[in-house]
Amino acid sequence: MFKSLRVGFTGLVIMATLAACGSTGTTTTSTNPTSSTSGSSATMPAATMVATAMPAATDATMSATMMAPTTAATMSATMMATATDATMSATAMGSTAMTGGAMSGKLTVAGSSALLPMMQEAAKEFQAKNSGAQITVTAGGSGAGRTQVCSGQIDIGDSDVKLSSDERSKLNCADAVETPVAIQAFAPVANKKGPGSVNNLTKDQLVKIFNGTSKNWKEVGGDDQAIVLVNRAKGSGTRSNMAKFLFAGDDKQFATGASEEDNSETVRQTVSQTPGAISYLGFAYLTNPDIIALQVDGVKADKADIQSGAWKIGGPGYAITKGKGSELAQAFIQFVTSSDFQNSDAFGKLGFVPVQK
Amino acid sequence: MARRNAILAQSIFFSAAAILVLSTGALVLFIGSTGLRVFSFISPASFFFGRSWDQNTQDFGVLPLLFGSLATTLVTLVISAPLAIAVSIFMVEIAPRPIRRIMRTAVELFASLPSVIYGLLGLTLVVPWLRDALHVGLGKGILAAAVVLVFMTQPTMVSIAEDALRSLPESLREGALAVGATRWQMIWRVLVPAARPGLLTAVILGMGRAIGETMAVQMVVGNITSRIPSNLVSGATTMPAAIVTQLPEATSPAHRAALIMVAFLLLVITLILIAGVRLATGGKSTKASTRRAVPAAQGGRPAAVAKLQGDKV
Amino acid sequence: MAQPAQAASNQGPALQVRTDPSQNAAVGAAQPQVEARHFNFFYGAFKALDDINMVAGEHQITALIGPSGCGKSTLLRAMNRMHDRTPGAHSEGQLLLNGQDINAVEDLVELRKRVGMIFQRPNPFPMSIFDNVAYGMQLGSQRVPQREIPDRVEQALHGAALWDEVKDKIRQSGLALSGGQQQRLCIARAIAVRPEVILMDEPASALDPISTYKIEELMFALEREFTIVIVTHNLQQAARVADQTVFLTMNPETRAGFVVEAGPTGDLFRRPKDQRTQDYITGRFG
Ligand SMILES: Nc1ncnc2c1ncn2[C@@H]1O[C@H](COP(=O)(O)OP(=O)(O)O)[C@@H](O)[C@H]1O
Ligand SMILES: [Mg+2]
Repeated sequence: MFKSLRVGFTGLVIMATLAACGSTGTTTTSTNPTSSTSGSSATMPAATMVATAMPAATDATMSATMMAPTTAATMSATMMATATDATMSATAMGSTAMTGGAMSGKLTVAGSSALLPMMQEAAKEFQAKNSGAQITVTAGGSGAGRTQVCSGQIDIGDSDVKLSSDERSKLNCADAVETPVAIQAFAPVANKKGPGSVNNLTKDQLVKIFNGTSKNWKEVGGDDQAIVLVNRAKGSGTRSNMAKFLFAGDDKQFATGASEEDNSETVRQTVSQTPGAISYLGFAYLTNPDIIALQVDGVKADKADIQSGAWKIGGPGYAITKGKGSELAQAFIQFVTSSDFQNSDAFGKLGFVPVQK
Repeated sequence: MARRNAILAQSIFFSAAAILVLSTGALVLFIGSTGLRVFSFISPASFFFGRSWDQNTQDFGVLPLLFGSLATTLVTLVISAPLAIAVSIFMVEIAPRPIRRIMRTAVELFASLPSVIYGLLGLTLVVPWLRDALHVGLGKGILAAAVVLVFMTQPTMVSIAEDALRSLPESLREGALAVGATRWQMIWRVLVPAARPGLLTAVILGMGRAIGETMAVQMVVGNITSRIPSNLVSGATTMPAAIVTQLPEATSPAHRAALIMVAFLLLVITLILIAGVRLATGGKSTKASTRRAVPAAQGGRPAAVAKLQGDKV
Repeated sequence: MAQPAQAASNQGPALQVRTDPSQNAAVGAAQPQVEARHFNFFYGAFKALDDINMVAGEHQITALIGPSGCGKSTLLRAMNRMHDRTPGAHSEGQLLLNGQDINAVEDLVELRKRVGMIFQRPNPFPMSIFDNVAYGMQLGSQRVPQREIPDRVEQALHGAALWDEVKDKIRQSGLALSGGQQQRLCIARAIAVRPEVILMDEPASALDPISTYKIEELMFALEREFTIVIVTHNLQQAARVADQTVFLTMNPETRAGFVVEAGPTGDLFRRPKDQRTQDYITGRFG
């Protein structure tokens, strides 16, 4: 019965979301000169988790929302909680760790929402080893990560892309050190009905499919089956990685498609049940038996080809420090890139490919 | 001593009420003022009459969202309202007690399911079913959302409609039977008109749920914002679905302001609905004098509704 | 119309007893319209009425009186099968309408058109005054032709002594009337279908004295056309309006209701044969 009260709460939900965004936004961007744009991109530490490119983060969001009584209000609340919990526990671990480690001090890490779960996991493990260290990890967007580390607000900025030469000069960040910490990879995926015997498409064929020129699988050698184009929502990291590969970053060239999905899980579900469907997903989803991961120009999205750079969709995410960074920052980045961490189960489960072989 | 307690209690209730009123006012003010900022980026005409919502071109015409919400709600109600009224009539007037109890449990179960479950059921059952039945590529769209919403609105609507029917005095039924009405004539010509305020409330609250539902709709509606859909089975969007899909990724100030303006519109629509409930149930201002002669339960608002409204004030 | 008369009993409060000579003369001659013969009634296992024998004569007013819970309403409601909706309710023996067993009637709609009912609380339908009265005429297999309905509505409202009060607002809601007017509207609704019998279950108990008086006046007028069976806990009312009175009470152990005494109202009130009747009408009975 009380569900009907939602009528009245719809507004509150939005309010809550805004309030959530607003408050975190201020803490991260208050002294930022470009606060209007980066303020808005930095507004979604909680919300970014919904639309993040990484399947793992999406999974977390999905399961969080599944467990909670899902009004939109609790949804955002849950997401907040997820983000905050992670940070909190990361902090807590530091003070209560059993094993006393060598490093101590405080470290703030912010930036890419895609890299957030991986950085949080790393912080947790690092603090368990170094009881004196206190690492705070938040998201806020890659752009915010780059600007804030350059302005000295944070110790490490994580970003899906490197600083542009323009940024290096404008942000007074010529001495920035960019360390690849994890590789994200994305691949076109299709329903089993449609491609027929085709499991490889050229980039050109993919461009035509995703800009709406090719409308039937038989045009690319598959069955006589209409292509159902499923996109991620505009602004999603997965989608922008695809746009970067297919359209040199010009998102406008994407055809509207049959639907635009909010998260990877819905894409997987939709593609797996819709004959003729095509879309794109992150690395963690590619081994899913319900769908076909397509090869591109004869290259398969496997670990070796992603690490070697032969696979062109996606790329490494970076931890950026101004200069070499503090001793603690260096130690933390060293831990993140260590083969122990990179090859750990936790790291793999989050859907990243290790940076080193 | 007792007097002191009474004063204390009164001031607690008073401040609670004041906080509620103030925060509601602040909410409207905040969302309104933030949303209206959109007009420093785009003209009101291009917002209210624009037929495309696309952040790539920075077009923020609200029509695709508004149309999606209204069409979804309308289709939902066309199916859901008669169904809910039929179900509640069956529960109150026809079903034997054990069946009634089973149905009540089912309604409660439906009410307690989280949206995401409805969304998943919609995604895995409704969408493929519509796709195959209607021979369309994907099956997501307004119709899929409406079918999901029919199920989501039933608990609200059935329980309120059931309350409204149940609270009708037995003498009304006997009066109809005593002049020779059959059971169906009694139901349609006497009971349903007598319960109309309650039934209307049921429909309006169901409508509120339909228009505000976010998660489940977002999973099955397709989230296509760039055009007004030409039919019910191609990708579309609704206001809340668009907000929840886009707000996290809205990096341009114009985009954010436009989305908040949509939230404001949604709030306004919600307030209109609440006003509708008050009117339908004969809130203080209307018809008080004609009601006096009516036996308390008859035509009055069901207790549950009064409770709901009480909670909202 | 009704001549007041002093009650013979010296012990109790004075009762006005109906002494309308024409009516009293008719008493013996009246055809039985409703008749109970060894009638038993049960709510599930509970026996509410035990071996009821009574007669309601044609064009007479018959009052059922007795202490609360003795089964007056139960007996009245059995006469148009209102109990059909009550799970577990059943009866034995005979309840006759013009010699025909009411419980054997197949067409309930027709039965209820022949036996109308007025309830304790006025229960107009949530529709206009006109529609309230027209309602019954539009139901069943023998519908009144649409063009005759306005006349029949007016007749019925005249018959219920309501016409003058509502003729200007006939399209307004019946719920907007006063309690007494609502009850007369219900009477209009009942007589519009031209029943043979009208059952009234404490029709004035929710009304003020003036409205009550109007209803009683109305009953005398209605009596010429209809047979009336009225349940009332108001002894004065029974004494004022009824030709015949049936006094029921209940078995103190089983709580089953039974008839103590029945007869012409004047006789029953002035010369009760049974001590229990005597006690009841003089107020000794609780
Ligand atoms: N629907 C019912 N189910 C079971 N018992 C009933 C029902 N209605 C009445 N009774 C019982 O039958 C008896 C007679 O009731 P009723 O006819 O209403 O009495 P009266 O009208 O004389 O006050 C009472 O004991 C009452 O409790
Ligand atoms: Mg009674």
